[in-house]
Amino acid sequence: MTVQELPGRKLSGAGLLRSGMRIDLLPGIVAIVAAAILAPIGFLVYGALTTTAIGQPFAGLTLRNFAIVMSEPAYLTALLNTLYVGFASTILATLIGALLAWIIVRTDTPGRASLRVGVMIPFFLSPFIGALAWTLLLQRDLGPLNLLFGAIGLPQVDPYSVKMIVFVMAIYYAPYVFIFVSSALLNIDPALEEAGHMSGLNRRQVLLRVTMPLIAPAILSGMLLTFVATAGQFGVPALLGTKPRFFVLTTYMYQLLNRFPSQYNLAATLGLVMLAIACFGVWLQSRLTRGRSYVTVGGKGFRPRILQLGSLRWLAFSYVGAFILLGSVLPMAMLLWVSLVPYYDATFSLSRLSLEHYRELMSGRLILPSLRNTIFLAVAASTIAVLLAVALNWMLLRTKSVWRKPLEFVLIIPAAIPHVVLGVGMLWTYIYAPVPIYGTIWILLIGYVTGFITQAVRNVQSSFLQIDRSLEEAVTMVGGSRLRVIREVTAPLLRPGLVGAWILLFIIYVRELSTSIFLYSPGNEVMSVLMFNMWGEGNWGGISALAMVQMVLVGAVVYLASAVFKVDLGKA
Amino acid sequence: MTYLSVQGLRKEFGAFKAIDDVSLSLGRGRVCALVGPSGCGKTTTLRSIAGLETPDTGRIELDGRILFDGQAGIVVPPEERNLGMVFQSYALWPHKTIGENVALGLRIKGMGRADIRERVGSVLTLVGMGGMEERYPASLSGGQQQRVALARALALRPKCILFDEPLSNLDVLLRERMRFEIRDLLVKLDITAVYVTHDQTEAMVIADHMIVLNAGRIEQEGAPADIYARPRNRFTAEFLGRTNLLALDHATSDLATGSLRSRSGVALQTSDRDPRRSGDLLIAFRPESVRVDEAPGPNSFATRVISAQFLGSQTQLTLDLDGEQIIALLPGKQLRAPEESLRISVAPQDVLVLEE
Repeated sequence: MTVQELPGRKLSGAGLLRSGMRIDLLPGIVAIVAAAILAPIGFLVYGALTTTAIGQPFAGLTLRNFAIVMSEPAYLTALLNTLYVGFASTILATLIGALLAWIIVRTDTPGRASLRVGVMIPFFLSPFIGALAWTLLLQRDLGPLNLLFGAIGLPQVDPYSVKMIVFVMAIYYAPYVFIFVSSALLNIDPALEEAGHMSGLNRRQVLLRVTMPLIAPAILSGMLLTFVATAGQFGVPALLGTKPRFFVLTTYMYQLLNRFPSQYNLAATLGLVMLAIACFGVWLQSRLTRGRSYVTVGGKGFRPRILQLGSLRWLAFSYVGAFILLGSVLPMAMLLWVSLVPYYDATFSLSRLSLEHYRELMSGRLILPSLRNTIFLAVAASTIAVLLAVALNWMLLRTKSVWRKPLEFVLIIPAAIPHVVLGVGMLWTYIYAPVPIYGTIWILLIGYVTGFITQAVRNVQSSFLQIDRSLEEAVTMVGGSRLRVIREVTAPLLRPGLVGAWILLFIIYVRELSTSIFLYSPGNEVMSVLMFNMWGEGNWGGISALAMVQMVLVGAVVYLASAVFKVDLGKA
Repeated sequence: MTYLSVQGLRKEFGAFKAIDDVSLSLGRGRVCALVGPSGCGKTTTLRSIAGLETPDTGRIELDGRILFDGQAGIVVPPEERNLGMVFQSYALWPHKTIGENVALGLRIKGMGRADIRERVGSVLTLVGMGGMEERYPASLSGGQQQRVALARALALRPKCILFDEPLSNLDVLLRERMRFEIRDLLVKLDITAVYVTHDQTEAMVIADHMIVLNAGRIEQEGAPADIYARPRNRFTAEFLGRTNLLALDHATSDLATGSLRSRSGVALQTSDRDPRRSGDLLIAFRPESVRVDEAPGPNSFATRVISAQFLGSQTQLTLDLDGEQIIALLPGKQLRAPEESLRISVAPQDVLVLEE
């Protein structure tokens, strides 16, 4: 316990002086965070219960929006589509990701260390860029994969289809499942499996009766988070589903807002439906992993038992290789090629290479500001989120404040809320807010921090939990004040974890599209928004060049993280 | 003259009474051990003295200065209490060298560089870690880390050092050696200390005064040897080592003359004569006070061997005494075959009457 929360104390002279200087910022920080999270939800509820447009005076509560949403088949279809896409891509991602994890952690497949890195690449690429690349790979009559299918007598594959939405999401969310399952596999005490063998179970029985039940919570937990993420995905269904008029809730909300006149109230109603689905998923996930999720973080890290696959190891290798090919190599190669030729015509001659698109980007009116906006927002939002996360964790883990429970509860929302929904709620909030934030870059900054604050808190928490309390108490016992405790022990020990959390957030922010697409205003575009808008114009060369710039930015930061700061992002 | 005084300390965590009216008083240069099973409140008491935990009520005074007074609302923060503490987990700062670990408190105090270097060197030498200033904690063994933790506590020359199960993470041999080293150091430097442990042998080596805690309350206190010889009740007797306990039959026993009879019908003579005791009582004798004795006499019994184990320096026999299982510890190797009959005796002065 720190000195802070001792009730009713009388202090000696020196102590009184110090306590007077000690202004407690924690309650203020908590209040601001809670307001930033709860206000958009409040306005969403308000919007769903009224029919007055944004900015109009209040004209009574009504359930009409809900009646419309329930009665019109288009909305129901969007809801069912969302659930279908969410379930299908979650199950596929789980099958892919869990098998990848098992092969890489528990078998003697050659080159596992490099394969592990390759498997994580789609995570850094983002589903949106993946969807862009796959549209190019499967362009009708021109996409290299369709050319290949044609050459071997197979029918062409249409990128604009439900199947491809599910496929792309499954590939780009499989690394999430991979992270969960591989860390669970690494944290199983091998003695548990050995005990299974000693009780007369064969290898298959040990896998089914011992290993599977042990990692089941991790798999389930990864599945639920993947479901929440895929059901709330905007970029992929927007890119691949708009043409065949296959709408999910996120894209439908986007449509409602871009119609004339905008249907804010209906969008808010759909947003609440999505929020309810997502909150249920996250609540279920936290129930299932209660008291378990953090144990694995600081786990001992057992040396896992490696299964000798024999000649099957090459099959396993091919499987992982195919995943890396489909998830990273082909998409990246395609984007690189398209960015380097004046226009893509399915001819692959080095003589066509040119830097035209890059020159165009550099001279373009939008690209440099968007690059600057992206980097500014990513740096500022990561920094603010990490600092807030430190303060909130201090409160959660180092004080006995009665506000800890409500804070934990409020923090569930950012983890659950689809960022599209947050975007809509924030629009409403900051139009009414008495501060001139609407239509500026600051609304994006607030949106970024709010949307990922829970992720930041969790990442920082795992580092916090690794600091033994007695290390801090030992400073107190040799006469150090609370500030001294932080300076001498907490901060230095937290630093590597904070760098890791910062970098992870930076990568997420550089790729962010779902919130930005609702909150940007002309002049405040970030790179993802610019790409999305260029896609509307069909400027594939420009998009690809921009995607390459984004990938280089992320790649540079990932390299910096692992080479300079020795951060293992796979564990963050 | 009381140097450290703790009075009527209470602390509840929700409905759980962690400590319930704990008091102790300790003279200067004395060592008090708080012992008891886990959850008995010994660590909470220690942390309350340290200031790392705030009791609900009570009063703590050290060398005439009030550190805590629940009624007057006085809580001196831990960093101003001038106490040293040795943690169970050593709590050495992993990112600081051994020298920096020991020096931090002196730096906070504002001591000069040269003085710090000299003090760190001398205190490390004192604990047998001289010349290790530049090493990092991770490169030290558990025993060495514990010595550094001790040095860090000693460096500030605190009024009192608090030990929180400091040896429980060490292996048995090292633990037994460190006991004596710590004891010698405390005596040599005339240090006042409160020492928390769940190991009663450790407490007996290190402490002048022992307090047995159970469920937040003081069960018994006194000199360790006295408590061992005269435990008041079943809890203390069993906590301090294995004891043969037979339920006393009030109707057929005479507490005034010391002729006792157990409910199973075993008749025993004791020199522990106190007729005032009432309630459920037990007849107790330690396994090591059982003698193998062929000549019939007072407290001599025919028993049947149930099992025998050779433990190295002793042999442990499980015996059947008129239907009650008792344990006997005999010196050296004295194995017996099961079912063998064996005559044993217990001296009347080794037989005690305890409360349930």
